[in-house]
Amino acid sequence: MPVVLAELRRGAYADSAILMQLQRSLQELPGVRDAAVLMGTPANLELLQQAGLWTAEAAKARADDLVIVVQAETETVARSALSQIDELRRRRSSREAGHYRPRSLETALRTFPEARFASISVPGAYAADLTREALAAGLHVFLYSDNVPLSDEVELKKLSASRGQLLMGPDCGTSILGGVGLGFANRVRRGSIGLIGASGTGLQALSCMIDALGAGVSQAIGSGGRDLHEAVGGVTTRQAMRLLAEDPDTGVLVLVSKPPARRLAGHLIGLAASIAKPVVIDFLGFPPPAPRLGNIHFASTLEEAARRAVELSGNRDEGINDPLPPGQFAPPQRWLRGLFAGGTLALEILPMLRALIGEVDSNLEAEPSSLTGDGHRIVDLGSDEFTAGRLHPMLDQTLRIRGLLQEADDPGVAVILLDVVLGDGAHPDPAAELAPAVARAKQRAREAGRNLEVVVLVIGAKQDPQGRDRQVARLEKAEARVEASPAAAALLAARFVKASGETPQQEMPPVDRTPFQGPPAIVNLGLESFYESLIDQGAAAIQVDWRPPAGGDQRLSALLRKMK
Amino acid sequence: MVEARVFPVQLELLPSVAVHEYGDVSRACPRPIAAVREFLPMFSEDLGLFACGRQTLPFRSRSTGDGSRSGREARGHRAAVLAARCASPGALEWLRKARRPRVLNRSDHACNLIDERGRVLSLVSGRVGNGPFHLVLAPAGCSAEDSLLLSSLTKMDTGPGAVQVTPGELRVGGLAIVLPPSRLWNPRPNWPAVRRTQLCRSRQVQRLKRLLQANAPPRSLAWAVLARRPSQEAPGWDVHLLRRAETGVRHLSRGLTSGSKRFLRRAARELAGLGPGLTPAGDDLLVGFQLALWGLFPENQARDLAAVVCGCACRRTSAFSAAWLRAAASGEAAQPWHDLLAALCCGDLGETAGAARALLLRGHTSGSDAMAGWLLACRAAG
Amino acid sequence: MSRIDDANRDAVDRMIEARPRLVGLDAAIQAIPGMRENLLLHAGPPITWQNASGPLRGAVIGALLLEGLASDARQAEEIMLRGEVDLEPCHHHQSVGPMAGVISASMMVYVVENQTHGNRAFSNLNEGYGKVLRYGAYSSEVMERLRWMNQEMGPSLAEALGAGDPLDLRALLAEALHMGDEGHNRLKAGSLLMLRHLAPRLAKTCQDAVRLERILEFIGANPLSSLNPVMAACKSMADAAHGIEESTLVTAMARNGTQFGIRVSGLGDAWFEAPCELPKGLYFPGFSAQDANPDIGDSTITETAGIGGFAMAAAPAIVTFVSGTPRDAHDTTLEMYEITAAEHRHFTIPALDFRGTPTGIDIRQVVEKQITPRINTGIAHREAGIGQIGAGLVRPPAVIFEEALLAYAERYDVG
Repeated sequence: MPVVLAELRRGAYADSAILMQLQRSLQELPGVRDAAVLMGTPANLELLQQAGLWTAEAAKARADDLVIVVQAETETVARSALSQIDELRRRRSSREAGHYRPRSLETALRTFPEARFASISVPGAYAADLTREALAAGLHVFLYSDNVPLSDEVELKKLSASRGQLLMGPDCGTSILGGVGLGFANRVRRGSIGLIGASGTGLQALSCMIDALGAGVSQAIGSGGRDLHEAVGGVTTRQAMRLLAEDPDTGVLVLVSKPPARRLAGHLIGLAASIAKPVVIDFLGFPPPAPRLGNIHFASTLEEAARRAVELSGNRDEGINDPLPPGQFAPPQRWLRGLFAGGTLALEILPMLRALIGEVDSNLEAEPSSLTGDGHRIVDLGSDEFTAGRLHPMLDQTLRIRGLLQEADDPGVAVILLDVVLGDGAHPDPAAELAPAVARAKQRAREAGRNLEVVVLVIGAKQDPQGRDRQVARLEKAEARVEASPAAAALLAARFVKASGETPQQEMPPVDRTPFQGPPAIVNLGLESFYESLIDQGAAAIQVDWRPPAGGDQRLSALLRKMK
Repeated sequence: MVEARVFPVQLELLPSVAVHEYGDVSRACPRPIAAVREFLPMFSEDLGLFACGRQTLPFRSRSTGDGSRSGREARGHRAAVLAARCASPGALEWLRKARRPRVLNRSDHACNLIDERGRVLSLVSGRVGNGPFHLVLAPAGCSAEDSLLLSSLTKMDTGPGAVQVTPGELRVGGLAIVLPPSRLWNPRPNWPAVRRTQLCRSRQVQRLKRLLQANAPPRSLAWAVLARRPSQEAPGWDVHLLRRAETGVRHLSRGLTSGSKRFLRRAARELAGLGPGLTPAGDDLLVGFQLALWGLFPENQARDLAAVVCGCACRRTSAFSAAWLRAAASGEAAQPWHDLLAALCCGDLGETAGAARALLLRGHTSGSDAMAGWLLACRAAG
Repeated sequence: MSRIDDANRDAVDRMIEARPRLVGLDAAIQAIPGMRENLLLHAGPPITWQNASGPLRGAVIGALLLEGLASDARQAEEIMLRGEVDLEPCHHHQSVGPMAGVISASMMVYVVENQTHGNRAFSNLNEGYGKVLRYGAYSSEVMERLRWMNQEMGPSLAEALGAGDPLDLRALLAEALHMGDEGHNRLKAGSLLMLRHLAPRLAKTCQDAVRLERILEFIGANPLSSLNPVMAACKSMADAAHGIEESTLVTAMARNGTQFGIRVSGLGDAWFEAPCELPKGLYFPGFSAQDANPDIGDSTITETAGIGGFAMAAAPAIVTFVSGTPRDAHDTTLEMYEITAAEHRHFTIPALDFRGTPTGIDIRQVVEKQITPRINTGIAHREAGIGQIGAGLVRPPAVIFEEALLAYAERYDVG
């Protein structure tokens, strides 16, 4: 005859998950048939009655009491089970208590010298100092803390960049490194899609969607909420892009963030264009300049980005740019000049160029910008101010050829972009005039010691009266680079601009890939749940029992900082 | 709209009784949510959106830093001091009215206080986040505060007299919480916007159902709503639990389709206080159900129906659980619900899935139980 | 590396490389610089008779009786009240003494010389457990024992030591740590090692068989007999590290039963003091915390030099004595690594894979991490003459490290 015993607890420490755990532990004790850990509400008491777990003791329970009922084979077993409640509850905490927790990064590294990452989730006011310390110790840093002053962030990222270390954060919600999730991360399949994102939830959603679509993630690198802020300059994003570009396990990159500063966007897209892998970009809420630019695919929602990445990951050769034709530019050469006959083509190519290389002046907008001096520039020669008193440039190329030679003489110009529109009614043989002009322009530049690239966008059909293939062949003979779509032309032109002296930013030393390949070795400073989840995932980790310096005394801690 | 719930605290402008009356701060629905959530704190701080306003609270203001005290004095009495970061109007009202507060219960990230009227105040860490009767003490993810909470709130002396509310300070055991909170949080989602999306007809409901099916733990009452057996059969008394819950769910559904308050009452009695958890699973289900009422029916009708459910259920459950039921009856919900509703309104699938997952992770079965209640109501009304 | 780090590295290297050797024994008045007839040395930072606690007063009375300066306790108290005899800290005279630490002119003291740097340190003879002067007892049996120690045992030991090379105390300590000692509360192994070195020489030099037997019996029966030479050894190591400009390392920690004081290498002879705390620990049957005297003694010089509480992981056997588990002992040493500048090169701990003991307390780390040094200690009865009533753990008040830090900031113009 089984025996039922009950115990009541009032105002007890109670967390649903712990109650459930307690119930399970009781049920698993030898000789125990069933056990229940419930609040003593009327419904639950009725339930106990129904389930044969009734005893007089339980009848005394009130709705706010915790009722613990054990049904066992003998009274001794039941009694011993109840006597173990506290022990069973304590088990969780004592497992941790026996373990010495170092109090600082320095002492943690003394016992765990193989650590390569620090995961920091201490209050923002202390995060910068700690990050500095971690970077100085040669660790890559996952910085979950927010409320880090922007000036500190800028300084820290300068430091990490100069040392070839990755600083993910501040305010970095998630990262998946070598298959291990840091911060808040989902347990997603491993695969060949590498993610980079400034938005933690965005990255999480993206990784889940990719997982749901049957593909997997190689690395997910959070860059921190403000990485794409103008002042920060996307340091982490750029480092991460280069890291993933080199990573043999990554086939496709996805870059997701809120819209960056425009100059930065151009820089990032330009960097993406230089990667020999497909890159999906989703600047949330930022209108994509084109659905696709060479290896770059633009998405406007996370779902679209995920789907695109998964498609691309199945097809490794998709969208990889041809190697850039060699061409050394002289130091002052950096500008792109476009001389367009077709206004619509100019209008279409303008935003793409802006996305790729930043500010571009033009006469296409309501308030035309200055059309002289330095800078990238697109000029529509079909607009009224040029056509007054003469034929449209599609028919009369005199003006354009004059412009071409003029630009060729400008020592700052690296690339000239032209369009040629074929078809009935257009110029009968535009290449006949344009090709020699291109050759002459290039010749003049060469004589001045410069290399000038001319990209020509040819719009036409095979059967057009001018003969598209013939036109193209003629232009190519004059060493013009011919493209058939605005996106391709924009991309090629932009790649030439990038190859010229346009990138004054100093090259950052690359981030060493090795620590990212296996499960990472991590020092966790801050949230204990992050440590537990790291251990759960099989990462090598050590928890630092971090506390504010000098017990939070600001005067003393200021003094200590000066005495480092 | 739903995202812009945080605004300056100027209590003198708030009617002290009808704190619920200023619920809707309608703005254009931002999209996509994720970007805005990250944008807002960043930019609005500059705009003063989150600024604390003038110190016009009913409490004496007090500096939280060590600046006011000499370093030496501060060192001599290094009591644990936390600042209240964010509060709901309900929490402020509690602080104003509580005369004989005491500790009700505690968990890793929360300490629940109760006063002589049976009203509850939850002191929570940033990890738990905002809620209808919550006082958030630490910013999300700040371990020092979290661990301080953990060690001080959950291990401190909680005997009689351990809780004291004084102007400018709430004391619990050895812990001093500096008031007033620097932000006020509106616990009511933008119900008119939710109604406009016609929730019960939306395909999103189907998605949520699939999500629930895939994620509900074996012991969740969700299985009573999904009318399926859980994937892993749980042993022991749970069979009885599920059987009782199925009856309750049937009556609840019938009550809503037929508009019969009798069935609603009966269902509330059957489900209230039923099942495992600090908030029994049946209560969680009723909370989700009541919130759905607010999303489905015009305000008056929703309030009416919810009052029927809440009135019956509150009498048959714990004080803590009753606090959640009462909040839901007046259309107030915890942070994860706000996120989910905002995502539903915007129709962003990725966001919805993420927010739903966050809700499902709440408690052990609480999240899935509540979502089951929500789906039940949508199904019955649709 | 900052300048402070450099200075600390220098200081801790000196502490570690100091090589204390027991070179002999002599009367305090002969050996200790500045010692005089009307001077008593005591443990801890400076204190007046008026402020002295029970055990210290008892020990002072006993010393006056021993020296024949007073004939009874009342007379002794009057002498002290009139200020006819001066009280100065042992630490001001290169000396250290356990508990009350009272040293008077005629007492025999161990002479320890640091071979590396040439400085000397001194400590008195250990009386064993029970009713003893260092706990403030001055009954006739205590006096009797002291007289014998100073007139018979001391000279014999001096003679024996003179018959051979000095005894290398650093080597002795290193070996004792591998035999389960931590060098402060447990010196069982160290004391037997010392006896093992002294016994053959005593046999050679001491002609009086009865006296020889009593000496061997006395030293062999006292598991603390090596505590005093070990303390003098630690003092010589700590002194070697003292006076390094800009160093933030602690070079003395001591208690006088009323105040706990520390000295810092770069801050000269200043003491930073605060009231002592009561040790936490186990009491002998019949006693409780109410009977306890606040912490007392110079024996914290062992922790200053990187042993004692800091080497707890080497001495799992004494954890029950100071209430705890072997795990706690292990964790104690790990915790002390948080606040120390170096790991000792000569003192290692087998259980920690022969890591060196945490050495050189850095006040910056103590303040930053709010971890104070852990000290193993005996507990004295607050009334004179009752003796030891328990043993346990104590930590210095954190505020003295903060004060030292502020003084440092002022002295070196930080901030």
